[in-house]
Amino acid sequence: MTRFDVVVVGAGPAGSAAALTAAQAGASVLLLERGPFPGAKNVHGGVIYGRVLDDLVPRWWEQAPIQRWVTRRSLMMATGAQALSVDYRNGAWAEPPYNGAIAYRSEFDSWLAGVAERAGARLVCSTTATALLRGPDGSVRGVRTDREGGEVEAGVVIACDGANSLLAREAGLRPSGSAEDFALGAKEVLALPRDEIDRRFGLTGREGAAMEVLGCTADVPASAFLHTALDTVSVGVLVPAADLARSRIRPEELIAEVKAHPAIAPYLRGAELKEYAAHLVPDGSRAVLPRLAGPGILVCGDAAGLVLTAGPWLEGVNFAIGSGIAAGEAAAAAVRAGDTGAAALAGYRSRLESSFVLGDLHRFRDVPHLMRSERMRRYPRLACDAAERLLTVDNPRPKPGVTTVLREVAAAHGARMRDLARDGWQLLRSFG
Amino acid sequence: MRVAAALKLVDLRPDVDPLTGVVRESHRRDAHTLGVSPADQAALETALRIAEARGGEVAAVSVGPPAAEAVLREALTVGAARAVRVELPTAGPHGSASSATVAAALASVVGPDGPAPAELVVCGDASLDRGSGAVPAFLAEELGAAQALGLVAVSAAADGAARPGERGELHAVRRLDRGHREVLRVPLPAVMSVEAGTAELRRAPLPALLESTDGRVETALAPAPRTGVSGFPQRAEPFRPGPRPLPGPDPSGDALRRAIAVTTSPAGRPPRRTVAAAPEEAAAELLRYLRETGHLRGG
Ligand SMILES: Cc1cc2nc3c(=O)[nH]c(=O)nc-3n(C[C@H](O)[C@H](O)[C@H](O)COP(=O)(O)OP(=O)(O)OC[C@H]3O[C@@H](n4cnc5c(N)ncnc54)[C@H](O)[C@@H]3O)c2cc1C
Repeated sequence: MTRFDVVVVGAGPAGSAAALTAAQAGASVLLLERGPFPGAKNVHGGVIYGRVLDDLVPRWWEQAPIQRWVTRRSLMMATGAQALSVDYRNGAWAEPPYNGAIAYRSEFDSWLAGVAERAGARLVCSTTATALLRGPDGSVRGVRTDREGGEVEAGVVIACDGANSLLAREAGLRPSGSAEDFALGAKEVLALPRDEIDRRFGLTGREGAAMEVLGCTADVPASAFLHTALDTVSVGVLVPAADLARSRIRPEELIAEVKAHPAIAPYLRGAELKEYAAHLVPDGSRAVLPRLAGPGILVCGDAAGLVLTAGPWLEGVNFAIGSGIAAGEAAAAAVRAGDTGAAALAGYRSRLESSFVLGDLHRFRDVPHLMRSERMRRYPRLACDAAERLLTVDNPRPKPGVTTVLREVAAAHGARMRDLARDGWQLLRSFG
Repeated sequence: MRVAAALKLVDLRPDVDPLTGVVRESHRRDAHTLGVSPADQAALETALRIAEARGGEVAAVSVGPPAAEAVLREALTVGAARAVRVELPTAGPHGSASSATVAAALASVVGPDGPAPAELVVCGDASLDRGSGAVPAFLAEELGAAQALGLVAVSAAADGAARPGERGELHAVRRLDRGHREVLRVPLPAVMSVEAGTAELRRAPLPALLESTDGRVETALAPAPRTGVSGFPQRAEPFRPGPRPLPGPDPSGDALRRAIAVTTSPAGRPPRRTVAAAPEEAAAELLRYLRETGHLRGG
């Protein structure tokens, strides 16, 4: 049987980062991917926060296949007909070291896997890991794949096989997932000429826009997003799987609702649908205390539920890369020391705790729950109504004061100022 | 028995305008959308099965740019013994080479004097990128071999008929119109082309994938290109029959009758006409008819 120091399953951002790190540390590494190439199966809104790569791939922005750099971020609160936006622009984000990048995952994942390959990792595609191999003491000793002669022995297996991780479940590191543990992300890729995108979103050169929208899907607590690539725009929704199931609405219907919103439709008029995709996203707030390691196995990225879902914001790729780096280091160190038992691999968790990965997840752990609450879901409408009252010139009546408007609008929505203050405080505490 | 499989690197996901069928050239192309057509995969599998059944080796051959080496490496992992990439001496994109040029390039490798001579060459019947299936026919001509094209089944088994010193033959099934099938006995040397459904390409075993194929793809330079027809007519725009003037409705009828006359198709088919004439006149008559019905332009 072939043997590698480290076998990484899944060539998403987590897997490639783990393979790259372990290979750089001198381990022999096999990187298995079930798709025909890395990224073939990956769905993603489009914004990648790449600073986590700075140490691993110096000046990564010069080689990574980036479509646009985010220089405009906005949060829109919408109702059926209204929209209120906070729009932030920063031209400096279009220059190194950049902030957010918009890329196609099929290209980005292939690139990162290529970096791992050049560092010495062996990438094998169109190959699915179907089971764990175990030693007599029950510790993980390798993986079985769906190919003839397809058993591979490993010092450490790193499971980076995504949200619906077979290996983490088989290792007993994750209870079999229920709908409550996941959100569904669905998106369309729409083609528009590049200059048309530049004009509609007010961009030049490689500048890009990322917009998050709350409240434009009436019956479901979904958040929506728009991201610009060079000549396509992704439009999608993110919705808790349980709520989606209860609503009996199909995800593509939600996207249609978003696209038809009067504040969004003008951005997309005449665009041609290129692609539709949907994927599970683990609810990160449940991952704050996941089990991340067992004897001979580490779990990273979506497979470990390490995704930040703070309201409309979704960050998974940077968490996947961050956890992949930590796992690659821990695995290589364990192999070098000749001890891959659970205790030896426990260093992985402490690495994550001292990094942004578990730090941020811990800080924002209450946000997903808060955002789903009945009260929170009323706020987009409340904010829009308040803006409408403040911005409507109702002469000859005199202008109302801001506090009066807030109180009246809150009362009209059955919310008390006290609740507003409390929710505001709670959000501030989570984000602050 | 030496068998060759001819594989062509193509764009697996061409951007086709859904209305006109025109392949747009402008779209993003990356390494992942390049590969071989399903028919070429079937050709490789057929070649492997025949070589296994009859004892022999398969050489995978591709006329194409350096990127084609990826598909040749894959052929090595599923069991091809050799892989040869043939470089055309012309500068232009490989896709624009004529079928005759590609066939001559293949023949320079798999022909009796080439670096990978073969008694049997298996090709896909047509590649995904507007392939016309003409390369195998040209190749057979080039090699002076028998040709059996558009096959749906090939029996790999050795038929006892091949006596020592004789090359033997293969049995194959070809698709005909109206669901008919034709069973062929194909003498060797031969060129075959197979449809995609003929055989499903096997998956490489993991150990074969882990073995390095570095340096195992040989390259050869093709002879100078021929001027010749490409198998596929290059059209400036998609075919669309020209408009045909139809007689207007009888103006004496009432509005309802006139409306019915313009919205329904004329009753019955146009009467059949049989022309008995000398070949030139008959041809002229045919052309005139095709122009009249809008199937031919000009004149
Ligand atoms: C609609 C949507 C929008 C998103 N938007 C953003 C965003 O804007 N920004 C952001 O940072 N994050 C976003 N995310 C989240 C992000 O996509 C994920 O968090 C990230 O991809 C996780 O990376 P990963 O490597 O852990 O898993 P994945 O990217 O899912 O990779 C797992 C890999 O493992 C392979 N695999 C699975 N099982 C096996 C097996 N048994 N054997 C072999 N291979 C296997 C898969 O083919 C895949 O390549 C979004 C997600 C969705 C669904």
